[in-house]
Amino acid sequence: MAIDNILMMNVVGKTENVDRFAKDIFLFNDIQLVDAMSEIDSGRFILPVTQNNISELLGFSQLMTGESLVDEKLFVSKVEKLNELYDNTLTFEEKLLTKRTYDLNEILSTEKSIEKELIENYTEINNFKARLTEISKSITAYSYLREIDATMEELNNMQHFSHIVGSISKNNANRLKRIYDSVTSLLFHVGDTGTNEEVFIVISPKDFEIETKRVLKALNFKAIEGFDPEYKETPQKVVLQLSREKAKIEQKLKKLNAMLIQNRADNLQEARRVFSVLSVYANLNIIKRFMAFSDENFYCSGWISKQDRKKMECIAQEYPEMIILFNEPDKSNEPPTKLKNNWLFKPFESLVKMYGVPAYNELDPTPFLSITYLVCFGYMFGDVGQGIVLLLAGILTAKKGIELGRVVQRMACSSILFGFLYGSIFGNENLLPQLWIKPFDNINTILYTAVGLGILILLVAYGYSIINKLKVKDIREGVFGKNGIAGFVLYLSILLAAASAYFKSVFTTPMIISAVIMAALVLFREPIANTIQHKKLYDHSAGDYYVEVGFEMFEMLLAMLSNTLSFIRVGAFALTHVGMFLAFETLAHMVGDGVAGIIILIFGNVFIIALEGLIDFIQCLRLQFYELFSKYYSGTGYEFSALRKKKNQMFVGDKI
Amino acid sequence: MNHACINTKLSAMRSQMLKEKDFEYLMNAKDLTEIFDYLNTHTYYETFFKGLDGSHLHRAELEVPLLRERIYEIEKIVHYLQGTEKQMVLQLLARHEVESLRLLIRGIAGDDDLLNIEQHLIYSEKYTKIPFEKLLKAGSWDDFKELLKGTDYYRILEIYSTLSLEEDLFAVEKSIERYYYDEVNKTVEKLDHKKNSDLIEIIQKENDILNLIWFYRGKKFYHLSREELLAYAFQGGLKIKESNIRKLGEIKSMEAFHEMMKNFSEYAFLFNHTKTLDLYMERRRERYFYYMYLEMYQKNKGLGKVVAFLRLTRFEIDDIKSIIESKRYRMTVEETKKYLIRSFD
Repeated sequence: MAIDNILMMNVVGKTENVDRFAKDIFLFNDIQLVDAMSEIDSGRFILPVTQNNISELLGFSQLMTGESLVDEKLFVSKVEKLNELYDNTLTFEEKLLTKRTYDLNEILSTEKSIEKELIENYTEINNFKARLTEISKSITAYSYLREIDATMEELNNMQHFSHIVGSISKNNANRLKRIYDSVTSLLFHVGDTGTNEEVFIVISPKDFEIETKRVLKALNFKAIEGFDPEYKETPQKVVLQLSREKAKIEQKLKKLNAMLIQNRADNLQEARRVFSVLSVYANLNIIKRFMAFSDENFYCSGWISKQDRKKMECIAQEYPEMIILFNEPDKSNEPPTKLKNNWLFKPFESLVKMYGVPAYNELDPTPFLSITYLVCFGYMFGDVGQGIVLLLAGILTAKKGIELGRVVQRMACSSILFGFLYGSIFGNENLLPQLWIKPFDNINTILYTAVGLGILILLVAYGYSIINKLKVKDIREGVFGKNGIAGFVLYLSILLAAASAYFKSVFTTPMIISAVIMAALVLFREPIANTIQHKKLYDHSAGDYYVEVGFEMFEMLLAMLSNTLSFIRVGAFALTHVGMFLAFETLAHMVGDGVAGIIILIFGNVFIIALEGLIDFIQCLRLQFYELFSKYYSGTGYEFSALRKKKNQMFVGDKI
Repeated sequence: MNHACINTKLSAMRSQMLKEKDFEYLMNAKDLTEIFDYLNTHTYYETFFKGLDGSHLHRAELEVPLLRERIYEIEKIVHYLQGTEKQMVLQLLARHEVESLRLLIRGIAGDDDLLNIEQHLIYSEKYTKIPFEKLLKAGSWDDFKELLKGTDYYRILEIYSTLSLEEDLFAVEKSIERYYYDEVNKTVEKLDHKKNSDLIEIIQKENDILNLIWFYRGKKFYHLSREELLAYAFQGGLKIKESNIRKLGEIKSMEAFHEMMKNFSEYAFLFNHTKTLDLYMERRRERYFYYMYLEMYQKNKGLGKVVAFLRLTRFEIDDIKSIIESKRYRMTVEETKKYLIRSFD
């Protein structure tokens, strides 16, 4: 079966072991945690009442959610620090976590020593870098004043005047010119910032400083940063002095960087290991949030695969006094659906999920969908050459991480296979010998086979439907319903009646009688099923029921016909496929079979692959969703989601 | 640009706009609900009224969908344009963005809960660079400025370390307004002057009038210094260019202002009233441009027609807003007409 059996696991352990246990769960990963508090509240978290369990049972009365108890700050800060020292190049690597248990003290002290070795160097580099930014700013700032002969000290200490250097936009510079003559200050244009702004030095008498500032503010004047009273020489000298300092620092930085790189390399092995272990601890909050705690115990619940039961029991054995219980899912507690398909069918799960995730007690339609999908698509789009092109496209898109790419790969293989059956390569039907038939020469065979195929597929779909309905003990629909046994026999009877009428066989009458009986069963399914189950004859009023079911009968018979004939499209598209190519071939002949002809044929192939490929893809999906899923599939489940979706995924600082 | 295509589009949209009889009906409506029902059933604003309940409406709630509809129309039209012409129309969108930003800044200065302003923000989600959603949650003026980093507005606001209602708000709002018109003028400069001469002329006239009103009010009501008046004066005028701007700055009294207006007879209509001078100043300006744009819409075939159409939609909304306002003050139809941009004579 392609749906994994799921169990609810409930664990009670001693609080002092919670971190270790959470770490185990984190690495185990294949578990869907549920809030333990709500499990306990709903009465599903049941412990056997024995002397041994007394403290665990008492704990139920003083529970707190894990939310309030999580404290991963230390680990998060260590992880972040370490990564910072390594310029954010460290990643969580699960493969480095080989040991079952870790000496946390050893890990923390190793981290400390790595930090110690790197931090001095690293801080120094950062300080120098900060200084460099400052210097660059100052160089720019003092450069604007290059032409001033006076020293900065003189400028800064003027008795009656103050000065300020700043920039304004070009438009506002024009406005400033209007008030040059009257502003109570002196203005000198000293350059531009390179970002559409003009730079001015404004010298104003200290008595008018406030007024000057107000006008400058009105013009959106912004002071240039980087001036410092510490620099007392002439601007030119200041720039020179700063440039020298800059060069020196850059020299030093080079050395320091080389040292840091060496240091990092020396510690890399240890750093990766410590980083990975600490990352796990930094992530434990995610698990602990789902737990509940009493003074002595922690409580944890989650869905796991039945086959993982042994593994979990092994883990639990390492903890003294740990209680681990497994419950089958029941009605009050709908389990998630964990799909399990082999490599061939797996990609088709994405198509199934487009419609809905199967309910837990439903058959996984993926294998059936995969096979029928492949047959239908190949039937419609049978061509060796075009199939190979599709295959390449599928491989490329799958490499880019697009799930649909894998579906396309499989579709392409089916197309190639049917290409051999039809003997068709890039539309040409003369190069390859056909293993079966040429569609265009055997139109009727192609169409009849398609319908036959459809009937077969529909019959299997009835089977799925009957099993799904009986699994949930729905006798009314499963046995007497239009998609149950009665419907199945009815459909079969009609088919056989038609066939024997065609062949003038004696079975016609019995088959018609069988069909009528089955139709009657479907018509009266509610009273019959209710009588068997000793319930009231009708769920609601009899009148409503018969009006509804009357229309339903009509619709059912119509659907049987239309669903069957719907599969003609599979044959029809196989013919269209050839027909379309014929059109391009004729065009190529018309232009004289030269280079132009070849171009037309290439274009034709591209066109067919893109357009027909898409249409056939959609038509197949339509057949699945509309003709088949509506019969047997509900898709009302929800998907099992493991703790981490991707390998090596971490959520440091994140919440789920 | 394929103007033939866009002109067809414009004609279709223009034909949907409100007619005189619609305005007559709205003015005669007895209350907001009736206005709402009419707009909702008889006009193209209907789609933007979805989800509104006509019986419990506040004035502001009715205005916002009208402007949203306009944003939608501008976005639609932008689609057909390229290069500078596209930029020109985007400036009309930016107008709303600037108004919304001003609302927020006022909110911050007044220490209001910004989330209350959310429903009044009108901007094009598609074209705005301002992160309005985030701004609504800004906790402080510093956060607010920080969020605007990467937009031109940051440069305008960064010099204000605090934002007080009395000291800074006026300056900040004027600075943003000045920036907006500078940007419009920059785009106008880039337009093909030959092809767009009449559009450019109207915009230059708008700048003239903006300046006149600015100097008039700055002198009369705000008592601003010459330097401040000049610092916020608009550029890109037709008659009022550099030398005239300087002259306006020199004016000492209101008499001198009226005296100077004799040189600009075309704009005299704004100031040659005694009793109702200030009350109707905006309306007089708008009506002046309404008829100019109306004419341009009919005569022009190029970008001018597009801009004219979009300006007309704004005038229409402003008139609907005035009618809504008139219900609040229980004005008669005759009184209401005085406040409308279009005239009914």
